Amino acid sequence: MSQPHVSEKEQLNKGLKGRAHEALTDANLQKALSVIGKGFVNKRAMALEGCPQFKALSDRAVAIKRHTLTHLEHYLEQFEQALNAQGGQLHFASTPGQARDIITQICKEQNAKSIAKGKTMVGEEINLTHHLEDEGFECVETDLGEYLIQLRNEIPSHIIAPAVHLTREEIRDDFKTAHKSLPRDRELETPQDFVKEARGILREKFINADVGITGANLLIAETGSTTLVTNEGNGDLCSSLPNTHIVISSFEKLVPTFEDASTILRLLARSATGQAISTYTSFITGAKRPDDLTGPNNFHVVLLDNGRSQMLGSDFEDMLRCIRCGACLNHCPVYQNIGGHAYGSVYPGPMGAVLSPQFMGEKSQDLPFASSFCGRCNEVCPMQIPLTKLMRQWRQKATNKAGLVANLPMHLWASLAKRPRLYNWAMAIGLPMVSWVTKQKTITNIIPALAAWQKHRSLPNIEKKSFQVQYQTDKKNKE
Amino acid sequence: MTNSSKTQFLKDISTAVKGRDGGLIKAEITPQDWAKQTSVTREKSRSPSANKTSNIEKLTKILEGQSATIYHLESASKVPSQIANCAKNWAKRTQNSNDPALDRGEETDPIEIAYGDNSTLKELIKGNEAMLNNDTIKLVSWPTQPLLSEGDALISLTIADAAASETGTLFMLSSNENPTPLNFLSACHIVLLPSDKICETYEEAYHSSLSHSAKNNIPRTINMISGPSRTADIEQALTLGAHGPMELNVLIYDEA
Ligand code: SF4
Repeated sequence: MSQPHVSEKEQLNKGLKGRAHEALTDANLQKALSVIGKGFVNKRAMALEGCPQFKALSDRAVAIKRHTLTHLEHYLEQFEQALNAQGGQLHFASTPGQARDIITQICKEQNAKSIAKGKTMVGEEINLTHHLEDEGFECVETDLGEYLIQLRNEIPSHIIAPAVHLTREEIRDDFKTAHKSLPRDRELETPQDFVKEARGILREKFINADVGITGANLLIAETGSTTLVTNEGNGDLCSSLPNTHIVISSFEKLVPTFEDASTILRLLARSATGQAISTYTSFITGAKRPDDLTGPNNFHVVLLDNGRSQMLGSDFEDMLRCIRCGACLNHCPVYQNIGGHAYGSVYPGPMGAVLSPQFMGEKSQDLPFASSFCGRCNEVCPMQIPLTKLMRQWRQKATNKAGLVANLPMHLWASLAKRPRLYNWAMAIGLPMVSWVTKQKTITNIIPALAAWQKHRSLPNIEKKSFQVQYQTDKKNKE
Repeated sequence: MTNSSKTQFLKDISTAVKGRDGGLIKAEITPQDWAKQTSVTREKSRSPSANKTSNIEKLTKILEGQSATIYHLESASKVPSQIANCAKNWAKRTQNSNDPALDRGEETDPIEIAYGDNSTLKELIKGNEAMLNNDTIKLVSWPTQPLLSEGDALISLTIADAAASETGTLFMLSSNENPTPLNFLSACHIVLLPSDKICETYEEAYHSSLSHSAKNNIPRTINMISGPSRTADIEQALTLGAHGPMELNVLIYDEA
């Protein structure tokens, strides 16, 4: 099970363009994506309507994260002490490899055979499940969406709805192949049918698991608590039934107190699914207490850096406020059209375009180009992250690297723009030509490269006269 | 893990932090001042304005909107009979279900209700034990094998430590009397909620629940629950009972 359907490497080799092209012509995917607008976007709008203090909460949340990141060392220290006092252990991993080794080591020490895993984006970032499977453990994803994509060996296509790209028909095929013990001719029609079947299959996995692994949406320094937000309740079974519970997270999830966590929780679900709060929010602090009847005897928190520390103190520090709500994905016209997989990274959409180059380096350098810079992401981000500004900075870096050839058109344009007379002259000759070309039905014969572009949108007709000329004429006419 | 990885990790952070604009750091208040400010708001949430009726109304409305069922009981004495009713209704609803997870075995087997060894609960049903322990209904205490092996005991019973009306949220603190899995393993969850424990905000509910907990110490798990378990992972269609309860019944009553 360790190679994805289409291997990640293969996907990366296709480049952003290749993947986006495939996504746009994938009918199933387009059908699946069409529900995002109706679903998340409308629900978020309604949730915000019902929360007049949203803007104030958002301002406060930004201040909380700024404060915590400024005094990060202090709060890390406080978190570790509080966690240790409750029988938990903190581990530091600078790289994905270190994080995987730490977790593998813990599982081996416990003689674990089976692992029940909740949804964690940091886990996805370090490819944890595949790694644990390669190490010989049975590692089952228990979030329904994650389970669906585990059956297909895919990566998530959305940070809060990992299987949003799948249709019922595809899931039915996967279930019939995977759940061999059930009668072949059973009915799998309604969403209920699927959910019940998965519930039955996964229930056994929870109960038999030696280790549970979950992520954390927030870490609370004062109490050493990790916060887990789900709608299904799968994370809570992972964290309460097995004898060992491991939380994989990263340092930017820290906040000072429960009060601060509450502020952010009030933004999270409203921005993500449009709920006022997710069904389950749990504060998990250390190992089981001596007189508890159930709960893990061993509790570990693994913090991953993976390039995050390099963002501190730079313009990219703003990105460390991200609470992974997914609002910027849901509202992004590019994401809505190409889906998550086209980005070739576990973090897609605008937030992914900023994070992935940091985490994955060169491999995802083209992601910041997957934006129309419409700015919707900036507007909907509850943590007020200037996403387009940060994407532009990555572009700048990539273009600087690419050198003169890539920059040539820009340089030409710049030198024209600096010489008004030359500019006007060039426009007077150039525009009528461009205008004529764009009005031709057979434009793709003249400029073949436009064929792909035109498949999904039409080229605007270009005026014969420049704005400046029109403006001047208009002004004269009025006088 | 090893000390060296911790040292490296913290070094990377402190190096990066040093590159920060000094003015920005100065503008930020110290952790000590942050804690002071928090303690002021915390004091306020420890003594909330008593808005009992409106909190109950709000909580009910929101929780119902989140697919829970709320029962307002005249008095604590009605608790045992209402538990029995919920259990019987659940059994009736699932009687003809073709879902193997809901199969209780023989129809004549008693319906099992799993609960923690809870002193408050014992107090509540004192004198009415027969209502919940007879041919049709049986109370079983956690950890029970049937509940674990996804079979018979499909109902769980727990007591909330607090609730926040702002989003219809129950606060459940783990203890030997309230084991966490009871909130998640059953198909039908019955929660007892004394009306005095209903606050408005998360902060109020959190601090009031902790003030009752043993030695004011934070428990291993605090669950905030705002409805039955749900998922939208199949074509974004909202479906109840993903892994946790399909049904959440909340019984609100005045403590005697
Ligand atoms: S960048 Fe903002 S909108 Fe996007 S996931 Fe992060 S917090 Fe949400």
